[in-house]
Amino acid sequence: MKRLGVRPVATGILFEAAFAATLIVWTSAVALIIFTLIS
Amino acid sequence: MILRPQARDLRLIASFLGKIVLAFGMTMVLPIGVAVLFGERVPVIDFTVGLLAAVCCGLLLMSLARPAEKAEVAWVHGMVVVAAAWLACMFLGAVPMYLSGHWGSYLDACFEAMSGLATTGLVLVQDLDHLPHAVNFWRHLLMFLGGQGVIVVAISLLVRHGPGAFQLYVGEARDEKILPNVIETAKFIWLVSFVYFVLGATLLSACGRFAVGLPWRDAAFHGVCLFMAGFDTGGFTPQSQNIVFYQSWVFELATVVVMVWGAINFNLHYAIWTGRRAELRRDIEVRTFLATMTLVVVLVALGLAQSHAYSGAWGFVRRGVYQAVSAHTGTGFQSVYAPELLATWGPLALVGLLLAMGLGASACSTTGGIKMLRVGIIAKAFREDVKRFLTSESVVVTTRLRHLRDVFLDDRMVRSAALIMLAYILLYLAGAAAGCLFGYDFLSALFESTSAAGNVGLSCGLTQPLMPAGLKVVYIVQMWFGRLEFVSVFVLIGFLVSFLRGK
Repeated sequence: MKRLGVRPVATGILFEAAFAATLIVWTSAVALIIFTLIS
Repeated sequence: MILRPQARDLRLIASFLGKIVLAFGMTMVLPIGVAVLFGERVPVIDFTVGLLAAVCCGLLLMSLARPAEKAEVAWVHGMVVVAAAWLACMFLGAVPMYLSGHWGSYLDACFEAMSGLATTGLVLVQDLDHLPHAVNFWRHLLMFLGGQGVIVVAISLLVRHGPGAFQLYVGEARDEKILPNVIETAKFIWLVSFVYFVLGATLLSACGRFAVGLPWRDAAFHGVCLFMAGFDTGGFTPQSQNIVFYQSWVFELATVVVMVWGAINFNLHYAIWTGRRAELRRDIEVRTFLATMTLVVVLVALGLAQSHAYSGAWGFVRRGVYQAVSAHTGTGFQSVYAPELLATWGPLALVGLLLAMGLGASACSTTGGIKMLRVGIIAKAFREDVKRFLTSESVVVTTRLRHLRDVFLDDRMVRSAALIMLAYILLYLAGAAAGCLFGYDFLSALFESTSAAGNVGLSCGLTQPLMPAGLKVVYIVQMWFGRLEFVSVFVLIGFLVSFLRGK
């Protein structure tokens, strides 16, 4: 196995958490736009 | 002419099966530890019985097999072992659950064990809120073991030095190796899981303590259990009200992060952890996931708006988006009560959730369903065909897709993706037909069937201890087929047929 350094792993984890946050913001924005348009 | 399997085939299969059962039995030491920690005496006895049963079965199978240890392992052996091992683990994993007295029958306990192992999350437990901590922990541990893979557990613990590890690994619906060596791949899967276990369990425990107000001990127990259910996209919770119990948007947000971590391909985790972070943006699975997630949210939002389920924007976004993410990652956490889902959400929103559950998330992750890689491949193939009609006949149209590296789309890839997709759709419909046969309406039957076969666990209230026993068996089979992605189960069936009818 390629040696995994602490820093790349920590950065990778933060990166994946940021991806999750982006997904939440994006989907919430889509839902909110539809709610505003319809109601 | 079908050839009847020979005694040495059976001995070889028994040898591997014995090792896997033994490795699985050894994991029952963990709930025994939890029972000791919480001062629960009866569960210690129940799990000791379960452990002894697994050890006896494992040793018996291994003793039958000794003369065949050095035989060559063929694909058929690997596939048969995997399909049979999942059934064996279900039967053995259900023993301590049944002994606890919280399941109405051994069939109910088997249903819950398969639901845990296949990371589905449909429940038949009775009086969950008074379940001993050790048994509750075992339900979630089953998800953690099943999510990584029973075979990955066995490879890591016992099968490591023998031949056949690769055949077993592939048989468990993992056709992508992260590293050239299967043992190294299994090690990496555990490394990712343990790193996220420490982070996720700490995050959820802290949220449980500070955002929900649980005492430290309960917060830690809930944090550990919910991490195992969330990261492995399972959907069990330690109490009966699912995520509604916590009444905290901070807690819900934390579970969403854990679910998304679990829905990412282990190969992609490796790429990101080794510095190739751009892969997250370029990978076809992630792009397809974002596209289908948007479609699902649009459908759910339109359905909720149409049915006037929530009057305020906050409730609308919080419930709608949470359920969409939970369904699409294949987790099945519910921030809405099951009967409420059917009564207030309206058919369009349910269709959105159905689509999300059926599609699933990444290949080589802990999720079930059709998977984004296959959906992406089929979408690309469709686009290529349209492009071919739009260009001159002399032009050679080729399509590239990015999945960890650049790959040219070929017919074999499209055929394989389309076949599995078709098989999943047929499985969803077959379960729905069975539900209709038992008297349920089509939408509820299709919803529950897709949830079982896609290993999701969202329920519209159909799954409960009083449901017909026949339907419980149907869902067990669906969860088994769905988790193993058909091939190894069909090979097992073919093996049994050849044993009975072969010459």
